Amino acid sequence: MAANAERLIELFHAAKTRLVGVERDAFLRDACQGDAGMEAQIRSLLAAHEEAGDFLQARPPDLAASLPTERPGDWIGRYQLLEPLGEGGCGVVYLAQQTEPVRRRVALKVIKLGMDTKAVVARFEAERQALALMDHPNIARVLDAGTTDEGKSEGRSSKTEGPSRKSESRGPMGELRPSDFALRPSPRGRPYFVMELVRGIRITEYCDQNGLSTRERLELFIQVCQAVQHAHQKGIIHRDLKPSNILVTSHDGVPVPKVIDFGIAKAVTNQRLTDQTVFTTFEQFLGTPAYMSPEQAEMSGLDVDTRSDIYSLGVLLYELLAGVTPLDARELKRAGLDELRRLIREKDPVPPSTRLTQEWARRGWGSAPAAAVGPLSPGSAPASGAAVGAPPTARDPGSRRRESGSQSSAGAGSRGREPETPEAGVLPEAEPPGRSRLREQIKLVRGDLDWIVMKCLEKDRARRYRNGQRAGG
Amino acid sequence: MGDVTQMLAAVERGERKAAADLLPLVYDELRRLAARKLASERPGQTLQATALVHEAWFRLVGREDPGWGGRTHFFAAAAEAMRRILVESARRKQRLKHGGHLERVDVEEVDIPLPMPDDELLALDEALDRLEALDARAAQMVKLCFFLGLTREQAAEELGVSLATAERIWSFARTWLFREIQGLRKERPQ
Repeated sequence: MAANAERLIELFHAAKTRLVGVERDAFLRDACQGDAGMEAQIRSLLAAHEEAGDFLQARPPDLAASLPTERPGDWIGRYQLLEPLGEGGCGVVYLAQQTEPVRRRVALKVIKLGMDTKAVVARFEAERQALALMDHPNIARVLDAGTTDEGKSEGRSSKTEGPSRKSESRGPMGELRPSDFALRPSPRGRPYFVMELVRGIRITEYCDQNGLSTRERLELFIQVCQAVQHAHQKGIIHRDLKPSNILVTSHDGVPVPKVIDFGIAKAVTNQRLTDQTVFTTFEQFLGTPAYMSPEQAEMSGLDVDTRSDIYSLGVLLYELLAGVTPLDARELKRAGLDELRRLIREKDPVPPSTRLTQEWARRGWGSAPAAAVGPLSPGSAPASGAAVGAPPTARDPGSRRRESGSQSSAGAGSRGREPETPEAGVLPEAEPPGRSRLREQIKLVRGDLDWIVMKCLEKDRARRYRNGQRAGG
Repeated sequence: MGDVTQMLAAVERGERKAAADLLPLVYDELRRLAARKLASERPGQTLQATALVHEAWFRLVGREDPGWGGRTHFFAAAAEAMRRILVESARRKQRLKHGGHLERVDVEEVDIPLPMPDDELLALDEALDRLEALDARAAQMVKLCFFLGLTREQAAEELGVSLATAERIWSFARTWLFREIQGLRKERPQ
């Protein structure tokens, strides 16, 4: 073992215990005695130590089972698996063929092992009535659900799944009626969900790939808001709204966003979480914590309600407008659990227009268009007026307006007024857009849109919009 | 005297070949145990790396007593084996991501949930090799605590150092590795 390494460990430890600043500097100077290499090593370690958070601290993986056992060709209930479509955090999604009462292709998601099947099924059961009543063109229907315990080796025998699965209670297309799909919990099986097949890509990817203008992005976003609003009116909260759950398909050239997984997140995640399982939840199920509301990150057992979805919609709108999420996704990914919670709970993002203005500055295009960089001053409010004050970034409640109705309509007004910018390359990573486009972009976003986004992103849910109708204008 | 017990004794005597022979044996056993557990356990049941290793120990060494040194060598091999099993899982996950999703899944493959994103785990794996070159004891600490799930007290005992020293080594090792991985992240295109 290198004596050098041993000394490095000792000095690193000793330096850590010294106060940052003069005391630590003096210690390093004395201890390293002019060994500049050693001093640099220790300084870079001290810097890393600040940021390391809980890195490697979590106990090693609970080896929760996650071995996929289904293969193409297998039958699950009355569905035959054709091919895997993708692997999400909480399970594998297959393209599957249904043969009766209708022949059609569906998406079938098998939840990974490691979840408590009984509890998942029970939670899903509790919402089945409401889910079956959801009917919206921008929501992918949940068609069926069950457990994978039977029928794998005996082919299709499991299609007769007992009295709870009466096919005569189905609609003409085999959709679920409220009285339908009672599930049969089984200790061995895993829960699965059958959904309308949506062949689409993430909304953010769709917008980028097709170079959608801000206005076109907003049109998609409004449809998403309407879908979420519909669900909320039926008493269904999504709980996991994020780009991978909002897919855009093209119908005769017209993009149609579809929200998938309604009712599933709740069934799968709504369980008591210990710190040990929180990491798993963040990483495996929720993937990115960037879309998670403060009350969800808190895991305090506070009931999640419609306003958590509103928060996630705010994050989505932010990303659609500014090209990045309000809280830096990579910073969140790096943070340890406590730091993650703190960031989501406390860190105020800059308004989207400020983010765009920073991009303007980064490209060295001189001073920002129109007004000063940074949060709006009341004087820079757009002409549409509507008394747009400073966007609610400050944590001072007095600076925020409580009534939201007029704001959303003002937002819609300003969107309608703006000229189309066909290729407004909003995203920093996109091809360098023209200077004038980014200028238009900033003007368009600053004001009402800033305000709407920041209102959705309020840390205190009492200050957010109460429903998607308002957020979507 | 069983094979493994003899091997452990040989490692203890400093025979390099014995250490090389031991690893695949422990690796195979752990992998087999994990696969079997994952296939047969009830959903919701979780497996701990430590539990797996204890079971492997019982099966391979049984009631024989290879002594304290033998036990340490066994843990060292098991920690390295767990690291490899995790790294394989991460590689497979990456292959799936990059279009390999249609290949059939081998039932014998063990996909255990990773403690961190797959690319990060692979970066950690590489960084751990470099840490080993700098200070083998620090690398061993990470393997025991992170991959095997030993407590700091247990790891201190295995390394034959005081708890305070173990804590220092651990703090240094994880900071050092974090710095290395951070560097990798910055080099990577977004």
